[in-house]
Amino acid sequence: MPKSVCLLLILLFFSTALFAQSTSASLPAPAMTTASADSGAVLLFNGWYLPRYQPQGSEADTTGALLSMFRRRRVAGYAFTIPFIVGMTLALPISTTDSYGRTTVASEAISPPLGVAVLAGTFAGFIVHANTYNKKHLLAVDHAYAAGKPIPAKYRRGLKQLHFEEAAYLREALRQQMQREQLQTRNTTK
Amino acid sequence: MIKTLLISGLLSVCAGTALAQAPSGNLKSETFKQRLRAQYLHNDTAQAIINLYGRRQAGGASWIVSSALVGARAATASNSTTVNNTYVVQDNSNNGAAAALVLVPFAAYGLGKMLHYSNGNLEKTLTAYASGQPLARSTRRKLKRRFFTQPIIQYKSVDSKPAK
Repeated sequence: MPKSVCLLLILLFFSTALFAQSTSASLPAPAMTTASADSGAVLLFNGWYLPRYQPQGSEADTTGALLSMFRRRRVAGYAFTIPFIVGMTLALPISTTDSYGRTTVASEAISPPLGVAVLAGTFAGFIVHANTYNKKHLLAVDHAYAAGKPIPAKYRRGLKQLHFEEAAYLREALRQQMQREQLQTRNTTK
Repeated sequence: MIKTLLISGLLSVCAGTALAQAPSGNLKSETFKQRLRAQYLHNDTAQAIINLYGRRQAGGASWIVSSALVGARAATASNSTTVNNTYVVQDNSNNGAAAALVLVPFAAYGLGKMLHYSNGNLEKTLTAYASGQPLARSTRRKLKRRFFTQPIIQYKSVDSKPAK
């Protein structure tokens, strides 16, 4: 009972921590006018880097699509819990509770070698996944792209139409937010 | 009881994640709202109405999802037997289908909410407001300060190093 309450409190704390994270990014810093690679770049959500996008002609919003892809892939990492549960079920003996509340533990696990292999694969896969799609790598790729280097093939392959659509949504939302902020400051200074 | 609390705690974590990760939901619906935002960008009340509708849509979706989860849990629950010191209490009253049926009104409430605060109704409300009609009292009553102060998207400018 106290253990469950503790767990609940921890869960609630995490949820509030997430809220705090999302609100702390609301302070807009003064816009820089210097022409460097970072000018006009913003951090979205929990600090994802989004460079400026000023298309000359019909070039696609590659950096925006990259941000969208990184975020979506990162969130999809929750799917690693499924092979984790499968691996645990295979590697450890299963306990069952009958309708009289008696708990019986199976004498042996279904297949410990297979379970351990699945678990090892899950951990390795998760580490690779979390490493591939992290904020620092996105920042590095964006800076390299701004310097004229192409996007690495492993990221370029993942870019889908959906990511470009979400990028367009984000750019438009940013434009609207900035315009409304200008509007509000103009109204207050009058 | 504890299980319910734990599940609600987990759900609040999921809700927190979803809020931190906006744009949540489907992109098409968000893009529709974005188009309306662009149309009434200089009107604070119109923005607040869009925020209100978005909030209520999410609320309706969460009613549907949580009643579906609780319903699934209730439908798959087995009969329980409690052993007291001297006698055994067998509880055979657990009827999964009936338990799931109890949750239909909750899901229906969520569905009703999603239909009432649909994007179509949002556009109608905004068009009527833009043409000079006063807002319905029921809508005006629901417009709280937080809907006026809610940002469209939260962002933080990157400190850039001056170019050499």
